[in-house]
Amino acid sequence: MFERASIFLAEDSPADVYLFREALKAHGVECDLLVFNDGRAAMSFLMGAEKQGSGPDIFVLDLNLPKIDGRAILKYLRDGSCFAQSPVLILTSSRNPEDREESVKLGADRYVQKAVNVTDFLKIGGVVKAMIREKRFNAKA
Amino acid sequence: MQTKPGVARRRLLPHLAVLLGLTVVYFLSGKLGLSLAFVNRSVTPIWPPSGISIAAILLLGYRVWPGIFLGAFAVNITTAGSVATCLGIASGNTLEPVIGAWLVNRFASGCDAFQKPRDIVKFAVLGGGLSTTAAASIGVVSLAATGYAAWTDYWQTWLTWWLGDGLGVILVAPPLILWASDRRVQWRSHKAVEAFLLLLSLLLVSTLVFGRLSQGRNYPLEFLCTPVLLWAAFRFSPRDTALMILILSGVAIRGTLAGLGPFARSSPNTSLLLLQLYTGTVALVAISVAATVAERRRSELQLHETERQLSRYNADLEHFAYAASHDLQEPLRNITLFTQLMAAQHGKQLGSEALAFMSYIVGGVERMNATIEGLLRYTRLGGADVIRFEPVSMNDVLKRAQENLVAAIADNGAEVSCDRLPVVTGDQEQLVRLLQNLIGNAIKYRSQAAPLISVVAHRNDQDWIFSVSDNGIGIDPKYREQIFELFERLHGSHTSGVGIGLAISKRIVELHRGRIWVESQPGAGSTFKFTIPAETEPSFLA
Repeated sequence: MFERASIFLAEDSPADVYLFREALKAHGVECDLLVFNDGRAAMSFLMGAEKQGSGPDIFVLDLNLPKIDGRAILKYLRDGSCFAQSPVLILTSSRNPEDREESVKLGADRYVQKAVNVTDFLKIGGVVKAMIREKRFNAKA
Repeated sequence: MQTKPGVARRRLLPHLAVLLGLTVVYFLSGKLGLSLAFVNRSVTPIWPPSGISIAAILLLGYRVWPGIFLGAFAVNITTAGSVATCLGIASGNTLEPVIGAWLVNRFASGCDAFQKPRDIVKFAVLGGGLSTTAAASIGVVSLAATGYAAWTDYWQTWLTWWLGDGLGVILVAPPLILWASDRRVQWRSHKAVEAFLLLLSLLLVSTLVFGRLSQGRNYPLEFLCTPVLLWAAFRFSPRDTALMILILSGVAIRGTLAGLGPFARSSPNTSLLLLQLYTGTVALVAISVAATVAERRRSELQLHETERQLSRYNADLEHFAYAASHDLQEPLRNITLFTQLMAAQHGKQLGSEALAFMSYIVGGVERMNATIEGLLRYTRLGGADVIRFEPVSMNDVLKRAQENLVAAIADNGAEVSCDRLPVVTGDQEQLVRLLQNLIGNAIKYRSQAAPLISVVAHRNDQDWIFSVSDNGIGIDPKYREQIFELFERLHGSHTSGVGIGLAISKRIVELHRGRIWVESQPGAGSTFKFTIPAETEPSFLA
């Protein structure tokens, strides 16, 4: 149905990376998933991509990452990088309402709290699918 | 080993210098005092050396006594009397501050004697009144025995000596000790202006009362000095107050000797004794007031500091609770998710027993999650979750609590009845949680019969008393207190819950300045009662 999308995932928990793949699978999202286990690896990839002028379709960021946290990555994306318009999804286990406010202020498009049961967690695949579709639609328009 | 004599010499020289200094100061102040001797050449109503010597021992230690002895001997041998007389007097004058300092050190906090009113009184009685009897008794006996005073005048001479010494202690020792203990002057500009005005007022008032203006009239205007000294006591420290008194004393002695002021009598000795009694009394009162004020200022500061510390600890604790709960919930989430995933993807191969085990795992994790949530809620109560006080209709509160419990009420066939409930001042969210906890408990700890729960309120003088009664299994009276503690559950695992609900309820009630308790018998249902302070007139909302 799609050409393969490319998804950037900054997530330090292998369990959540696995579940995220399961969620994409459950919603039939065919994609290349680029996984970064810490903020520094994610940033150095982004800087390289910035030079080449091309990169992933969608960014999925955990907030609490080792070395450089998700907020800093979001700030980098939004502050004049060539990905300033790319869709960003924050996927976090934080229940702090302030984190949501801050993420929205920094320019996140979606904010999803990691669910505590499988059925709900897998719904994330649907959210990502919708974001890809939106991006394609906007690109055509 | 060679250095030892050197060290000893290095210590000895400063000590000798101190002794010599003390001898000189004692000698000069003694000469000044004896220039005012009228009843006997050796006996004066004003004897500053006694204040200097007790201050010296309190500040520098008992080892300075030779300085005092030499000073006293020198002052007397150059005034009147034989070597024997003067040795006797010097012994008395040395014994006095040694005894005085010992008593003050033992019973009146030593150099800190002017920090608390109680110690000030002890200092006056022990250092000013008691120890000075030694010098007076030995001194007058020495004079009389060697023929320099008449035995018939013994008591009059003794009294002058004793009063002179005692008032010397009370007037001279406090400023010396206080200024030696704290020499810092840290006044900002407006405080310096105030200090200048205070000094100016004191000089003006004391000149008015004891100066040339009073000549011929000698009106009893000494009370005019009191407000100025109280000004010093309230706005400055005991140290500054003591200095003001010393200045006042100087002006007053000069005036009185010139026959001026309210204490001038025909006999200069009587005049000076009266004056000294006046200044001594005023000094004790003013320094006591200053000490009380300073003590209060200190405890206010301390309270402020404690308050600051407490709120910092609270913030730390909250931060800790938040971080800990987050870090605890993360692994729990993984356990649940992967157990569920395992059940979904491999359940068929593993069989029904494995599926049951997995549901136990998920159930256990859910309980643990609920415990962490509850603890977090408990720590946030009154901290991050600030209690907002506003008028709240308890009817609305009950309605919302019932809505939140709608599933439990329906599942158990419970019936909740209520009277018309009043409006109270409190935090709506927290009060909903309170009623929800109590009604939830009434359903949870139900008996065989369908739960019947009633919520009523009545009022006594100051409080609204709310009762939540049920027909459940009841509680043994011996657990009445215990159930409100964290993690106290009396009824094993056949009921859900983690033992935080009643602890939270108690905290909510206490944050509303109320009390909560339970009245119950096993098998006869329970009634939980709590109070909320009532505002003025009772009011009901339809």
